[in-house]
Amino acid sequence: MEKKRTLVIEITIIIFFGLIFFRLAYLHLTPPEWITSRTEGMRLLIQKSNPSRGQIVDRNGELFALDAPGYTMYADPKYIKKHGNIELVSSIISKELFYDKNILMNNLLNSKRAYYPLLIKKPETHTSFKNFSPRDNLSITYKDKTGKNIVLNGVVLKKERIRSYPKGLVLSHVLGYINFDRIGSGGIEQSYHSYLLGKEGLRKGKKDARKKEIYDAREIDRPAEDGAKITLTIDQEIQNITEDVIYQMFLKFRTKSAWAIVQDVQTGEILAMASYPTFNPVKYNKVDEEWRRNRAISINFDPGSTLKTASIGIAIDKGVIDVEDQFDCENGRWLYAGKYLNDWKNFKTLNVQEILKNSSNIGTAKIMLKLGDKDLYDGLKNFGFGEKLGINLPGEEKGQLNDIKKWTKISSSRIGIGQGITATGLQMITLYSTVANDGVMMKPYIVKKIESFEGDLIHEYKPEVLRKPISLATSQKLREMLTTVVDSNGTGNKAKIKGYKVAGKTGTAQKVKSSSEGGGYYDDKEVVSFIGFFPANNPQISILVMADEPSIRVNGKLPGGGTVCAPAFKEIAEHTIKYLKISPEGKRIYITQAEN
Amino acid sequence: MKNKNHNHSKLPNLIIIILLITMIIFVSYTQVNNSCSSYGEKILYQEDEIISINNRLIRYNESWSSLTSPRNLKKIIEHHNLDMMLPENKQIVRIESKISNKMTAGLNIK
Repeated sequence: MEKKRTLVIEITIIIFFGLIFFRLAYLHLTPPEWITSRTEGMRLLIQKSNPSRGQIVDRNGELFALDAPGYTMYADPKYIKKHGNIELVSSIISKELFYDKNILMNNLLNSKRAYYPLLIKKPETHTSFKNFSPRDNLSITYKDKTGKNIVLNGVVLKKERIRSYPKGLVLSHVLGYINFDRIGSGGIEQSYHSYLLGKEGLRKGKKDARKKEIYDAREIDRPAEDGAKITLTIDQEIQNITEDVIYQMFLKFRTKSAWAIVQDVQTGEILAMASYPTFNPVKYNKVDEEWRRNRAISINFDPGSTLKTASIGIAIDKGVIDVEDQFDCENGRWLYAGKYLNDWKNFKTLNVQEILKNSSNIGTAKIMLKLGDKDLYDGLKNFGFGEKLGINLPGEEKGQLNDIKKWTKISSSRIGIGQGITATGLQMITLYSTVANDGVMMKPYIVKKIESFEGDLIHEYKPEVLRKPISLATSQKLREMLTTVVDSNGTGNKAKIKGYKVAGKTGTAQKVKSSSEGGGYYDDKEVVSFIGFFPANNPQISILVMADEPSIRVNGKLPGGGTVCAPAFKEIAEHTIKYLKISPEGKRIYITQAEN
Repeated sequence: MKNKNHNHSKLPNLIIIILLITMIIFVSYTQVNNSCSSYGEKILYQEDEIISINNRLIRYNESWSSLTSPRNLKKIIEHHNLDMMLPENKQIVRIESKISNKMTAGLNIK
C-alpha cells in the first residue's frame, strides 16, 4: 500500500514537473500571440540606414564632392531633468561649444521639448567634437583635460551624413549644393540628384534589454545602396588656373562679375567653367542668390563684336562675299534707315578681313544687308542661337534671337554686329569651337560618365556632333582672319602667345537699359569679352573670358575686351598649353624625355 | 524481496535517464545558443568595424583631396621655398602617336 502510494506520488511529481517543463518548452519555442504581442513592440528593431550620396569627381578622379560621416549634437532637456545634471551639461557644453552657460542652462530648464539642438550636421572631424564620443542612444562621454571620462546623460550625438566639398570654393557653380533636406539645389547636385541619391537600407530584427541588436534574430538586412559616382569632363588644374585668373581680373578692373569657359574644340568637353563672385557650397545660404548663379550658362548678354565671326562667316559660307571684297566704311559714321551707326575709328575702305580685324560695325552691317535677313537668321539659328545647347545644368539660358517676322529694316545691320541679340557664354564658346573644329558643331558637355557605387557603368557621354553650320573652307578662312585680330596691331594683341598661333576676337558691348530707365544703351556700363582658340593652325582648346561692368578706366576710357579679357585669356592659355603639353603644331602628348 | 527491490528501482532510473537526457538537451541547447550569440556579437562588432573603417577611408580621401588641390599644393610649394614650374614647350620631347590626333582629342590617352 505504501509502495503504491509512493509510486502515485512519484508519478504525480513527474507529471507535474513534466507538464511544467513541456509548457515552458512550448512557450519558449512557439510562444503564443498574447505573449509575443507584449514583448514584440519592446524587442522589435527597425533600423533604416541612409545611403551615402554619390561622389562627384573630375576627369582624373579628383574628388570634388562626397558624403563624409558627421554628427548632430542635441540635448534632451526632459531626460536631463530626470536622469542627468543640467548644471554639469551646461557647464561642459558651453565651454566646448562656446555658448553662454547661463543662457544655455535657462533654455534647458525651460524647454518642454525633448530636442534642443546644440550643433547641427557637422563633420566628425569638427573641432567641437574632439572631446566628445557617443555612448548610447541617450548619453555621450566627455573626456576632460585630465583624461577623465564624464558621462553626460541626455546629450546625444546622432550620426549624420555630411556633404563635403574638399576643394572648397573651386568649381562651386558647376557642383551646386544640397539644401538642408539633402536635395540637390544647384549645379550637378540638382540635375543629377536622382543618380546621386542612392537607396535607403533596412534592417529588421530584435534587440536585447541593452537595446543592442540580436544578430541571430535578424529578419531583413538590406544594405543601403550608395549614390552613383559622377565623373565630370572638368580638369581641376585648368579649372583652378581659370578661377585664379578671372579673380585677378575681377580685382584689377573692379568688375561687377566675371566668368570663363575652357573647352576642348574637337570633342565639346568643358575643361573649366568658372564664375566670380563665387560661394562655398557648404554655406550656400550665407551668400546672395546672385553669387550662386553660374553666369557662364545663365546670363544672356549682347555679344557685341564677338558675334561678327558668326555673321561674317555665314556671309562667306553663303558665297555673298569673300575675304578680299571691299566695303566703304563711311569714315566712321553711317546713316542708314534714319539711324546712325558708328565705328570706333574713322575707317574708309576695308576688305572683309580688315573689317573683322578692326571690328568695324559699319563694314559688318553692310555685309549683313548684302546677306539678307533670312540667311542671317537661319545661319544664326544653325549656330545654336536662340536655343539651349542642352548641357544639362540648371539655369541654362537660350539667349534671345527674335523671330524674323519681328525684324525691322535695320535689324540685320544691328544683329550682325552683336546688338539686339543676346547669347550665353556657352553659346559663344560653342560658336568659336565650331569655327576651330572645321565647321563641325560639337555638343558641349560637362559629365563624362555615371557609375554605380559598385563601379558599374550606368551612362557614358561621348562627343556628339550637332550639325555643320559652315563649311570647312569657310572655317579655314575665318580662322585665318581671326588670327590677324591677335596680330601686333589687332584689337586682341594682348592675347598673343609666343611661339603659338592664336585666333580670337574681342568684344565690347554696351549694356541695355531697362524699359523703366527709358531703353537704349548705357554709356558707362559694358560687358567685355575675348573668345579665342589655339593653336590656330590645328585648334585644340577654345577659351572664353568675360567681364561685366569693368569700372577702372584706362587712359580715361572704359577698357574694352582687348584690355580686360585678352590678357586673362593669354594667362589661361599659356598654363593650359604647358599643362596639356600642346605643341605649336597642336599635338598634345607624349612626353618621353625632357631636355636638360 | 530481490524482485521487489528491482521493480522499485526501475522508476527512479527512468527519471534519472529522462532528467539526464533533458539536461543534455538543455546544456547543448544553451551552449549552441551561447555560441550563436557570441558569433552574432562578433559579426555585429565586425559590421561596426567595417563602418568605422569605411568612415576612416572617407575621411582620409577627403583630407587627401583637400591636400592635393592645386591651391594647397601651391601654398605648400611656396612654404618650402621651392621653385617649381611646368616644363616649357622646348623642354618636351614628343613622339608621334599612331592614333590620329582627332581620336586622342578626348585627352584621356592610354
